[in-house]
Order: sequence, then C-alpha cells, then structure tokens
Amino acid sequence: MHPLGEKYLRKNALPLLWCPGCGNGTILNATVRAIENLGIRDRLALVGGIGCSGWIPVYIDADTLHVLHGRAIPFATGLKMSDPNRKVIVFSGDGDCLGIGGNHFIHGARRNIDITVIMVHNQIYGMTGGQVAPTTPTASKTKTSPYGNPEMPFNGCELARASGATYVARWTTAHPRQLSKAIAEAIDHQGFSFVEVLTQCPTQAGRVIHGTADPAKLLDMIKANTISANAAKDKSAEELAGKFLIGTLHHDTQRPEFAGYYYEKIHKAAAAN
Amino acid sequence: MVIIDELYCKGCYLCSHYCPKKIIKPSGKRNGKGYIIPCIAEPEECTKCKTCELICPELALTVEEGAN
Repeated sequence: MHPLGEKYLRKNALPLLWCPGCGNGTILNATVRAIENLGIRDRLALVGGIGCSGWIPVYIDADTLHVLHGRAIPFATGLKMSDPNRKVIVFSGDGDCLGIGGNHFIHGARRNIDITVIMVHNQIYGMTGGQVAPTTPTASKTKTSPYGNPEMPFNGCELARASGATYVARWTTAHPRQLSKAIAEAIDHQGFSFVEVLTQCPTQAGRVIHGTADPAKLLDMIKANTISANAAKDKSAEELAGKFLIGTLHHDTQRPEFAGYYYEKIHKAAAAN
Repeated sequence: MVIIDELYCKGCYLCSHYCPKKIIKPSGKRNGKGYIIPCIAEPEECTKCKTCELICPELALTVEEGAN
C-alpha cells in the first residue's frame, strides 16, 4: 500500500470493494493527495450518497457520513451550517446527484453554500445492475433500455453553472494529476464547488454500453471523447458535438458564501438585541 | 524503484497501459485473490514519472526516490 494509503485509509475496511479497474479508486487516490496537500484532515467532514461512488468517503479515516440515496447534499448543508469551519466534501454518483438528488443539487448550488461536490459520472446505475441513468448517452442500450435510450443525457457542469455554483470543473480518471489539483482547488474555494469526474465502469457501462470490459480501453474511449475547455474556444459547434469539455469551466470568487453570510446576520441580530 | 503491493493489486493493468515507457508487464504470478499481478520488467528504464502511482485504483503502487 502507498504511504498515503497507510496514512489516510481505514485498514479494517480494506480491500476496496470496487471491481478491478474501477475509476472510483483513482478518485479516492486523487482525493487523498488533495487532502494531504491542503493539510485539512482535522477539520474534514465527508458525506457519501448511495451507489458505488458513495463508498469513497467510507474508506477515508476522517469524520464520515454515509446517508440516504440522493440526500448527500442536504446532510452536507446541515453539517456545514452547524459547523462552518468544517471542510465538507460530498461524493455522489451521477444517479445520486442528478437523478434522485437532482433537486437538492440545484438548490445547494443556488445557495452557494461552501461544500465540495465530487460527482462520479460513469453513465449508468452500476451498483444496482446497469439500469439507464440521467447521464446515459442517447441511443445507448442498457438493461432497462434494450432498444436504445430515447432520453437526452444531463450535462452536470452546465446544470451546476446555471444553478449558481461558483466553482465548476470537469476531469476524467485518465487525468489523475489534474483531477487531484482540481479537487484541492474546489476544497479551497469558498462557495459551492462542483467537480465532475468522467470515469470508467468496466462491469456495467463497459460491457453493456461500450462493448468492452477492459478498463484501459474504456479510459482511452473516455479520453478521446473530451476536449480541453481552452482548445474548444475556437472550435465550431459541429466539431464539439458529443464532446465533453474538460478543465476549470467556471470560477467566481465574488458571490458571498451562504454559511458565512448567515452567521454574519445572526451575529448582527444578536448584537442589536 | 516501483513497489507493487501484491495483497491489494487487482490486476487491472491501468498502470501498464499508462506507463510512458511500457515497462510494466504481467508477471504470470497470481496473488491470494487469484489476480495475475504485474511486475516491472525493466526497472532501469523507469523515469519515476509516478503516473502508475497516481492512476492505481487500489493505491497499491509506490514509486520510491533513489536508484532503480
């Protein structure tokens, strides 16, 4: 085990429950590095939803909540409001964050509360057996869409930005260095931070949607389907069709943060009485 | 030098695929879980870029400073 793994992971919970080649482990790896670089272990609170990705915080030896399906952001909001010095990180899957918890997600972003949401985007409901998810590409065949998915997938980053998130970034597990840096930036940012991670699911999305269970091939496919946000600026709409923009997509440091604003008002009201 | 933790490796070979020098190869040896674990075929070629260490989903790889 890597020395950072020795330092930050719960030994009694190992080995990690994910399938061989699952991207969740790479995200855990990148998160542990970000926590080490920022030195915030003592004031860390991690919240996980339901799904494979909801297990990421369970392995990190810090204060952890593993909560109801889709309700990771409301729990994190309560946690942040009761203890505003905490650095709260939410791990959520695409189904957890945009499907079941979609409403909580947009309202968390609207409030601009200082929590970091790391959304693991694997295009499918992996843990429950490969059902169609809000991010499954149109026309993909899954267990519950055998004739092709008729729906359009959500764009998590656009939704976060439109809802008022002040830090929005997207990376893939094929960019572990940049991912770790983006997670550190998101944790450091005062406000609602959203990091979408495109990741491979060899067992469900791989076999069912992409026709291969080889994690390396899947990761190559994901990487080939992305374009850096800077390079995309002078590209036409046809060239960008179906591509995911990667990089820091939005960073606004001007908007006031919710918990800080709220406590300021409380102190003012208390002083006035 | 690159150390592979045989206890935690699940043989996904992402390290091998992303190694820029392509020196991580299957060793033919199985670990306790039954996965064929990789080995460093040409340790002297390693540039210590740490890509394998960063991409490893099991945190099973460690790249140590010093001589190969």
